[in-house]
Formats: sequence, C-alpha cells, structure tokens
Amino acid sequence: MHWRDRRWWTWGLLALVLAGCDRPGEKAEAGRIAAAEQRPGDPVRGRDALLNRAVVTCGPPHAAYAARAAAAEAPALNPAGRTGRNAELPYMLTAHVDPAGVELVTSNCLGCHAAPLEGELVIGLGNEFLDLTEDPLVAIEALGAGLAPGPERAAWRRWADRVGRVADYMMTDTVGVNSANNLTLALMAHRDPQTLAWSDAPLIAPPPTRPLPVSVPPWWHLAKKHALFYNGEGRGDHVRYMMLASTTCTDSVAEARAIDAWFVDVRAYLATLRPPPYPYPIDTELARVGARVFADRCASCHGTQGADGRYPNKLVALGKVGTDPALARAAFADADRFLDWFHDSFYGELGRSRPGLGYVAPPLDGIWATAPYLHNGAVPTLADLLESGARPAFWRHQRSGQALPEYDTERLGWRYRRLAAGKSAAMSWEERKHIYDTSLHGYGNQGHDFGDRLDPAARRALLEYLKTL
Amino acid sequence: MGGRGRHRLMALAAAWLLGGCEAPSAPPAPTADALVEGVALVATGVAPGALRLPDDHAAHPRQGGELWRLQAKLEVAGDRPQLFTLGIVRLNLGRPSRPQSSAWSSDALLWGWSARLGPDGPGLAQRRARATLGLAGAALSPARVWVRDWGLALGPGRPPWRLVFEDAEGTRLVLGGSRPALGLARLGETLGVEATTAGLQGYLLSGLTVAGRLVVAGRARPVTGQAWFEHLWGGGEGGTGAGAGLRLTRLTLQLDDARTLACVELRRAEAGGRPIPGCVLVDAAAQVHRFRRRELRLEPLEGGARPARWRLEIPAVALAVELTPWDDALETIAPGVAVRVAGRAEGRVIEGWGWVESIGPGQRRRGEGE
Ligand code: HEC
Ligand code: HEC
Repeated sequence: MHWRDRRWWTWGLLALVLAGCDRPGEKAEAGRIAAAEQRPGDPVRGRDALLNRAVVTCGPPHAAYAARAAAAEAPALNPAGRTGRNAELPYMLTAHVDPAGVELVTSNCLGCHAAPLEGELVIGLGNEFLDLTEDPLVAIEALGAGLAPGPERAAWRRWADRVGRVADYMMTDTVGVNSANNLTLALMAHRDPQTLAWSDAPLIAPPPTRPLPVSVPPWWHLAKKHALFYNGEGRGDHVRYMMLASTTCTDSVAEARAIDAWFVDVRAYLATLRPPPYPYPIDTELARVGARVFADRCASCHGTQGADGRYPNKLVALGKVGTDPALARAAFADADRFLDWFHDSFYGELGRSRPGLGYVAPPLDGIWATAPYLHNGAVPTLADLLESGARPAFWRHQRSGQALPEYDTERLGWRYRRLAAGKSAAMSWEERKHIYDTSLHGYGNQGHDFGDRLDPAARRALLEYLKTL
Repeated sequence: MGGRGRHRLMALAAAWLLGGCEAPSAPPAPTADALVEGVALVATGVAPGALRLPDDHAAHPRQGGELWRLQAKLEVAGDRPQLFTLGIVRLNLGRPSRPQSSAWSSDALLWGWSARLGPDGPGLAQRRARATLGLAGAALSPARVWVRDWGLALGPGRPPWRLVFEDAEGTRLVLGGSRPALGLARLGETLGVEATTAGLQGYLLSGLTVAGRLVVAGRARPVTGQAWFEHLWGGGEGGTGAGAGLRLTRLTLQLDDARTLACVELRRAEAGGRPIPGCVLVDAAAQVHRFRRRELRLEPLEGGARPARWRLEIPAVALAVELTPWDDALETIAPGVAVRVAGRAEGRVIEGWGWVESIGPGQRRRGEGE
C-alpha cells in the first residue's frame, strides 16, 4: 500500500484512535517475542542483596519468632553469604529493621525460588514441594498472641492484617502447586496504582479465591528469556515484575523506588545463574542419538544448546501446544483491570504487560531438575511428558512426611504413585491435599503431544539427551 | 503454661476459696485460659499425646486445670424440656505432683456446679472441696470424680459408654452411647493446623442418651434426654502462656437428627484480624466430618465479647442454622449461654440445642456495656 493512498490514512488514523482506547487490552500474538533491553546491574552486589536485604518489609517481630521452639534449631541449608542475623535464620527468611526500630523476620524470594537438590540448596530452582494448602491464619495469630501493646505488637499487626487480607488468594488445594501470580493480582486489587497506598477494601474486583495452579519456573532461564511468565506477558524491563509479587508491604512509590534501585543488581545476578548438571551417569552415545531427535522434533520451539545455540523465544498458541488453557485464558480475558492497574503504576513505567493466548516454549536447560512439568506441574516426569498416553490422571509424590521423594533416573522426575481416583474419593484432608487431580479446573495434563509419534527407541534416546541440558 | 500461668490459676483458686457461698460471678477461668492457650499453641505443631481411655477419664495431676462436664436436654413427661449442665473443675493449688496410678496427692481444689433451666425456672447448685481433705477427689479404677455428695462415675474405656451422676438428694442420671470419643485434636485441625499440643487435651463423647431421675426441691421426676460429655485438661508443663490476646468461642450443638456439631472460633480480642472458625460434625453413624474456615460461614449476629446469637452455614452438607439464647436467665449462672438451634439441613427444617462459650481476655457478660 502506498503511503499516499487515502485509505492508508483512514485506516492509520482509525488504528491510532483504536489503539488509544485499546491501550489496556493490548494483547500479544503468538510467535517470536522481541528482546527488551535490561537495565545493567552488579551481579555480585545482587547476590548479597538477594540473600540479605528485605524486599518484603513487614513480618513478625524477631522476638515473637524466636519464642517458637522451632526457631532454636540451627538453620538447615543456609547458603554461603548470609550475614549478620540472616546467618541464624532459615534461608527463606530475612531480617529487617522497621522504621520504629523493631527487628522483623520477613519472607523472601527463596521460599519459592530455591530448593534442596542432592542435599544442597540450589538458588533458582523452583520449590515444587511447598505446602500452600495450610491456613496460615492460626499461626499468624499465635505469633502475635504473646505481644504486649507497643511497637512490636504494632509491627506484628501490620503484617498479620496484610497477610490475613490476601491469605485466601494464596491458599491452594494441592501440595506443591504455587499461587504467586494470583497473590500478585490480589495485592494490586488492594492498592491505588498511582500512590501504591494500601486499602483494606479492594479497589478493583479481586482475583478468584481458588488460584489456578502454577509450577515455579527456574531462574536460570532468565538470561535467555525475553519475556517473563508462562504466557509471556512480562515484556520490557524485568526488574519491576520481579518486585511486584513480593512488595506485600510496599505502600508508597518512594519505597518501591528505593527497592528498585538495588533490584537491578538482583536481576543481574539472576541472569548469571546456570542449571545444576545431571548428577547420575549418562549414556553419551545414546544421548548423541537423542540430540538428533531433538534437533528434528523439538528445537524449532525450544531452541538449541551449546556455544552457537539459539533460543527462539516463541509464544506458542493454545491451539498448537494444547496444554491446559485456563491460566492463559484467565490472564488474557479476565484480567484487563489488572493490566490497567499495572500500566498506571510505578511497576508498569518501564514495561508493557502483554498476555498472550498461549504459552512460551521455555528453554530446556536443567530440565531434568525441574519436575513436575508444564506450567501447572501436571506431568510428574519427562517420560510422561514425551508420551501423553502414559500420563497419570491422578498421582501423588512418593514420600514420607516432609522428606523429598527419590529421583527416578528412568523416568526423570521425582518418584510418584499413580492413583485410581482423584481428590473426591479421598477420606481426609491430609490425604486429599497430596493428590494431584488432573480433572480439576486448571490442573489438566493434556496437550504437548510432540513426543507421541516417536518410536520407543527414539524416545529413550531423547530422554537421555535431555539429561545433558 | 509457665510460672505466670500458674500464678494466675492460684490467684483465681484463692479467690474462690475466700469467696464464701455466693454464686461465682465468673465462668471457670482456669479452664478458659487453658483452652485459649491450647488453641494458640496448636500452631507450634507439637503432636498431642494419644488419647488413652479409660486412664484419661481420671484426673491429670500434672496439669494445672481440668474440667469434666456434661450438658443435656432433659424431657420430663408432660412438661417442657429443660436444659441441664453439670461441671466439675479441678485446680492445682500447689506444685503439680508426679503422675500417680490411682489418684493424686497434690493440693487440689474441686469445684462443681450444676445449672438447670426449665419449667421450674432456673436453678443453680454447687459444691466445693479441697482434695487433700478427702471430701473431693478422682479415682482411676473404676474411674470416678467426686465433690462432697456429687459423684460422677466414668467408663468404660471404649464404647458403649456408661456415665452415672448421683447426688445425696437422689438425683441419678445414667448416660449411654456408642459413638467413638472425639479427641480434641480433631477440633484443632479444623482451625487449619495439623495437631494440637500438650497445651490442652481432651475428648468429647457425643450422641449420648440420658435416663434417670431428677430431684428438685425434694420432688423426684423421671427424665429422659440427650447429652454430650467432655473432659478437658491443660495448663500443665510444656505450655508457654501464649494465649493472651485471643478469644476462643466454642459452640457445641446437638441437632434433632442425631448429629452433633462441635465448632470453634478463634479471634483477636482487640479489634481487627480475621476470625478463624472450624467445625467437626459427628453424624448419626458416628462418622466424623471436619470443616475448615473456607468451608463454612460462622458469624455472630450481635456485638460484644460473648455473643449468643450466631449464624452457621456449612454448604457441603447444606446446613444453615441460627442460634438464639435458650433463655436469658441461664447465662448468669452457668458459664456460657444455652442456645436454641433452628434452620434447615438439606432442605428440611431442623432444630436443636446447644451451648456457646466465649473465653479469653476482656470477656464480659452479655448485656454489660461494651
Ligand atoms: C510465593 C512464591 C513466590 C515468591 C515468594 C516469589 N516468586 Fe517469583 N515466581 C513464582 C511463580 C509461581 C512464578 C511463575 C508465574 C508465572 O509465570 O505465571 C514466578 C515467576 C518469577 C519470574 C519469571 C520467571 C520466568 O521464567 O518467567 C521471576 C524472574 C521471578 N519469579 C522472580 C522472583 C523474585 C526476584 C522474587 C523475590 C522478590 C520472587 N520471584 C518471589 C513464585 C514466587
Ligand atoms: C510447537 C512448539 C513445541 C514443540 C515442537 C515442542 N514443544 Fe515442548 N513445549 C512447548 C510449549 C509452548 C511448552 C510450555 C507448555 C505449558 O507449560 O503448558 C513446552 C513445554 C515443554 C516441556 C516442559 C517444560 C517445563 O519446564 O515444564 C518440556 C520438557 C518440553 N516442552 C520438551 C519438548 C520436547 C522434548 C519436544 C520434542 C519432542 C518438544 N518439547 C517439542 C512447545 C513445543
């Protein structure tokens, strides 16, 4: 079309006008996601900040925390570089002194984004065993119950009331699945986007109180990914998205700006993370065969490895990938008010949130370690992922108490038990919460059948290759 | 409960001893404290000891406070039903002694009260005695607790239960039933925590039938009825006194379709926070169903620290009922408020009766200035 064509002007103007009205509803098309420049930061300072600085600025007073028997135990798995009081706290807690001088114990990113592997804490590995099914309210009230009126009680109250408001948006009905994105939406609903001031009553309609299940993605994809989140909506500057879910008590733009100033370092650190190598033997001959299968069947979406590797950053349409559509659909169709909020806020100044009706084909680096698979964690092992007919409809991890399951080097994933029936057949809450039931809304294990047409030998070889990533 | 808690118990016990013959003006606060602490400690996740019956029918000398209680709706031929409650509290006055096999030797006070509400109007009776004087005590085998002429025989160790209350005037109530004992830990679990603690333990025997005779002012009348019995102990070693600042409300309801509901609501005594309710439903077939905060709605329909009007809804069993005071007179003489239950369950009209008790700091009687 020639630029002097009248119709060009007409359509152009119309498009401009529509774009104006349409701004918040801006959605992404399937396909490649363009790179976005990230602000530079110092990864060494970033690691120190991640381990020692509080991003959540409210929590129970240290005194109340220390009165609990469990606090007396030496913290397990604490990574090197935790300094001062933090060296005494479990890795998922960070000490913080509030403006009134009260020392607080606050939660940090590592509760979800770090997990033990082979007896060591791996920073960046998603915690797929977190139990968000428990009602936190009793424990919260108990922590404050012994505090006399004064600054400590006031600090406890601020945290208790805040968490109390959002607890229902975080509680899941299955151990292991996460709800952080639903929490983010709940925090938005309670804040003025311009000032970030907190409101006890929601200012826009809050998200549903039954969060859709999500698995926690590993941080070591960050160096490759152009957009954050499963549906690729996190376009532009990554730092402020990362902060968003965790600024439970950041009630002013000034405070958010102060966190942003050091969070560029945290992002820079996260972008240096690499996956842990597969710790068991690998049949390198077989893996070489598998590499060819991968190049043939998988690389167009997931990219290639090695020095000359390239990662295409593709958002794959729901119709093509076929996995459970609920998460992508909810963010695409039922979340415009949150897109508006984001774009009107400090957090949206440097980015554009663009949900797509599909899922990003993630890099597969360290894929052996990040079971269970798919955005909702519905598929327990890689062997199951490559053969959709073999996936269990109902399953639970094979573990006793808090111990982690064993790693299954045949199927690549944590050992699980296939069950004959789902949650509705379970007799107790305790039993019910451990069952992954793919018949529930958002928990589906369908789709991604790209491995189905492989013959068993090729599939075996491909599995072997996946160990090397 | 630590030293601080024990001082509180002793002060209260001393106040009662010195209080003469007046009706006590407060509910048995030591048990109340123990209850609140028990629930608060639930959060620390210490597993409770397993229930050991028949031993647990008897006293727990290492614990600071203890309560045996039965609550009943009694039918008298040709008259309106009456509500009847009987409680016996044991308080340690000295240091808790080592556990003993048959009774206990520490200095303890037993205080019993009974309250009646019915056609004859409200009636209160009470008995008090120091255990060391032999006028009160608790024996293990057969399990029995007594204060002066009041005696409560407990047993056996497993269903069918047979409990007998007798006094010197000739009242004799025999309670029987065959549902399993409900450990208090189950109720703690409804609050969303895994297990309760050494802070408070106990059990509830629900769905009991009553037969016997009630003697009022020398006049004996045969009675039948429904009842539950509970036995709670706590405030011993291992607690931390962490319950301050919380108010616990217990609602125990007997529905006329033979189901029993035991609910709790924990809330901050000061304004703010979110109330945390939980319920256990024991059905006619003795199946136990637990409902947590997000599975039910429980809300007071009036203000104040000790509301008696409540609404309870449990959608999973299509139950929606309202509680109203049975009679305003009873609450002034018995701990808690007797209530009528009315509403619908699975489309049918349902009625019942029960007790509501709120315990915790700053508690006031209903109707007092808030
Ligand atoms: C309550 C658990 C939780 C906490 C705490 C948490 N996250 Fe996340 N995080 C998640 C989940 C779940 C996702 C995936 C959400 C999605 O993609 O829809 C995620 C996604 C991310 C992503 C995008 C990853 C990708 O591949 O797209 C980054 C980056 C991230 N989080 C950083 C952080 C940082 C930094 C913190 C601390 C300030 C933090 N998160 C705290 C659960 C959590
Ligand atoms: C058409 C594009 C496409 C092709 C071809 C493809 N995938 Fe995927 N893959 C995706 C998308 C999109 C997802 C994310 C789906 C979701 O989370 O719901 C995914 C997810 C995965 C995951 C789970 C990642 C995680 O962290 O949970 C694995 C493993 C995987 N693919 C392996 C493969 C292998 C092996 C092949 C070749 C047999 C392959 N894929 C072929 C698009 C593709």
